[in-house]
Amino acid sequence: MSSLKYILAVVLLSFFFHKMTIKYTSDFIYSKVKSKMLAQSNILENELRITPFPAEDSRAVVMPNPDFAYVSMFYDLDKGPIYISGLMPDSTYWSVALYEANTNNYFVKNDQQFDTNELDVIITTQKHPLTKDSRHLVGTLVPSYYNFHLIKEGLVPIGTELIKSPNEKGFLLIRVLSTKKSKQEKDEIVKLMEALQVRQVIR
Amino acid sequence: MKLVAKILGIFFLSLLIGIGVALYQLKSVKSNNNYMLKNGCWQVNPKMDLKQNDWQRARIAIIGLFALRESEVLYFVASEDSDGERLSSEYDYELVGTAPNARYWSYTMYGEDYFLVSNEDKTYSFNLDDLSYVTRDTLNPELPIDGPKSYSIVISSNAKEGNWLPSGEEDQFHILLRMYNPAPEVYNNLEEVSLPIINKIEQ
Repeated sequence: MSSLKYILAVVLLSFFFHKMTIKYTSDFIYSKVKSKMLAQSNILENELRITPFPAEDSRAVVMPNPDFAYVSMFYDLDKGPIYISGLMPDSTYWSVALYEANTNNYFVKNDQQFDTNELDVIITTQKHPLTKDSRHLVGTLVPSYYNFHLIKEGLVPIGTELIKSPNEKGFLLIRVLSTKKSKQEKDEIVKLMEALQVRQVIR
Repeated sequence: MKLVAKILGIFFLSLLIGIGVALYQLKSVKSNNNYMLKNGCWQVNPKMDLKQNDWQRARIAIIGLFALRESEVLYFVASEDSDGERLSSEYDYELVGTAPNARYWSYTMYGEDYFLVSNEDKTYSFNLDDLSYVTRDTLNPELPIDGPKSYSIVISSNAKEGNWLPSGEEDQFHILLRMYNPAPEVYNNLEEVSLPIINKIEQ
């Protein structure tokens, strides 16, 4: 009877630890990758990291695509929204994707879905005043007229789109495609990526 | 004192079993078949639910961290050849197929650890623009004139002529077919849409 009790305790506890492992594996991997990427590039949160066309020595994130130049950033919106701007290529696929800290991809929009190749987006959260409007749904873009006060104050240009993050912390990943083996094309893409700007919008 | 030892024993044994079983299941290709659709030797996840499904989120974090949702990209992975045998650098293979109906597509070789496979040629993938296609009038006269373009890729650890995808020295490798912005017909026929075969080349 006594050993049955112990066996039951082991089964129940094992089941609990199994569940917890499944639930938090993605958070754990995210946090390990975050530490690794920030340390490798010697950058902080809210700073952009450029990974031009990965090769066999790109070992920070599994399954990199060698046809893509990546721009990434671990963001923290505690002190205010983040504003990202710059010029994107006009004749190839590119996309902006956002992830929660548990790795859920809550937003993605590609070049054909943006109106222009001038990137002007703000990432913000519920806690910042500009997103109090209940029509601002997580992971959706908000037309620029909702940002009128920011535009009026000259903090962001007209046309800026706003993306509401479900949490203060998350990850931004911009992918830019080059399908040809042309070094010149790849260099031009990297040059554009290096010119991207990021800043906190503090009012 | 004995009771404390027993409780600690139960705790650590359960921890070991719970975490061990969870990690084994997450890393096992077969235990993830519930979420995947099969098309020949390819598997695809038709609905990536990384928000609420802990299992899928954990699995994707291990093998494809920062993957995009299926509305943007379909990821078809082959870990076995068309005879159902594990893909291994010990053998040579021929991948034969036609151009998928997608805005951008590519085949990338990943090692057992899901990183790019090291090789002197620095060739990690083929995409729609850098593949050499088979012409109708030479190698394959029965190809339809207006049909999608055909191609053949040789997967081998030894250098080959033409479309050669080096497989390095991997006990097991994986081929990932990415389809960005695929046509609606692909989404509607994930189990029937035409995908390449991967045949072992007899030595």
